Amino acid sequence: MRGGDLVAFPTETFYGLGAAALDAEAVRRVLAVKGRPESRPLLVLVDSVEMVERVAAAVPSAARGFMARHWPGALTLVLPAAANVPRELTAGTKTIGVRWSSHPIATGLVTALGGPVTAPSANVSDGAPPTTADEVRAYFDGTIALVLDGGPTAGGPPSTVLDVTVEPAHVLRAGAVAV
Amino acid sequence: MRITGVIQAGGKSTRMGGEPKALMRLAGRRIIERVLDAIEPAVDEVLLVTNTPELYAFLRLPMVPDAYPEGGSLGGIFTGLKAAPGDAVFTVACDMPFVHADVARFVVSRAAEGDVVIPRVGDQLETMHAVYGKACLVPMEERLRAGRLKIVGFFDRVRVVEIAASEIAAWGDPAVVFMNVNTPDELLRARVLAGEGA
Repeated sequence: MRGGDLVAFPTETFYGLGAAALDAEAVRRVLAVKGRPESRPLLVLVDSVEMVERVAAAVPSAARGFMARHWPGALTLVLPAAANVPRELTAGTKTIGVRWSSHPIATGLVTALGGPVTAPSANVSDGAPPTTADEVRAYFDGTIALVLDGGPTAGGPPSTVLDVTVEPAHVLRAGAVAV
Repeated sequence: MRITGVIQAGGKSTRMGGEPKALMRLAGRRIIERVLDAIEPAVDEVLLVTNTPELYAFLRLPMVPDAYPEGGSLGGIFTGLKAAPGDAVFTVACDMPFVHADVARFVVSRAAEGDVVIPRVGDQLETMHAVYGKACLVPMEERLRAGRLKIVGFFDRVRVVEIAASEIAAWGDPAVVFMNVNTPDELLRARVLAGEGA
């Protein structure tokens, strides 16, 4: 991943497609293999509040409350993006979606890399999100470097996406966590 | 619920007379081995937090370096919790010679009841013989970054369940079960308790 390669990994919902999120070239590769339009932002995984502060221009106190109540877990918080965040990640929205996953492999990958990791579901744009390593391989065999096989994931609803750049916070996507 | 046992062997004052406390022997067994023997049956796996892995390699446990070397015990608990594959950790110190397998199993069996499940003996919360769930990570990190290192400082942000000393007394004197050895005197006392004579 430090060299720009992509790695798929399990999360508490689906398998995600990971690249070093601050490497614009690697993020472009994620969008390319997914066949995903660049008009939609990608969320990233972190393993600490400190890491959030590296990618967010500001962390409102309301956001800190949601972190304390729901992290690690399936809640994505949308924050104003810091200047160093690649445009490919924000899709021009100037915001970034972050979450701290409760899955040990997902979070272990972030810790091992020492930086945020992209985590769109590991499927091509019109495909169903995968819950097994085999489904990931069926989509991306030969095009990504590695699939970390953590067994079947829970599936179900994806993470809840909550915009905390506005007040009161606004649910952009209802999902696994009730807020 | 998956529980990871974490033995804390970080920190600075882990030596007594030049030797790491955890490696001193009591009734023929190193203190840290006694800790491991007691907790291993109660948890799904065990990991060790230490900045001196060479000292403990013989235990053949996965080891993680302390993420907050200046963070005291709170930093060690945070490090173990963050690295643990489990949903929660059962944290013990490496220098507690009389950790009891049944007490460990009892505390771990209560893990689902709170974000922190912790024995209380008199005024003392046994922070180094307690269960901490992943929900503690964010409040712990906040305190660590502010340099506020008192372990119980974040307890008002999470659900804390206390276990009374009386619930544990059937297995042993709580004052002994939770004791750690910090000084030569305490080691001497431990040796007496372990039946080695004075």
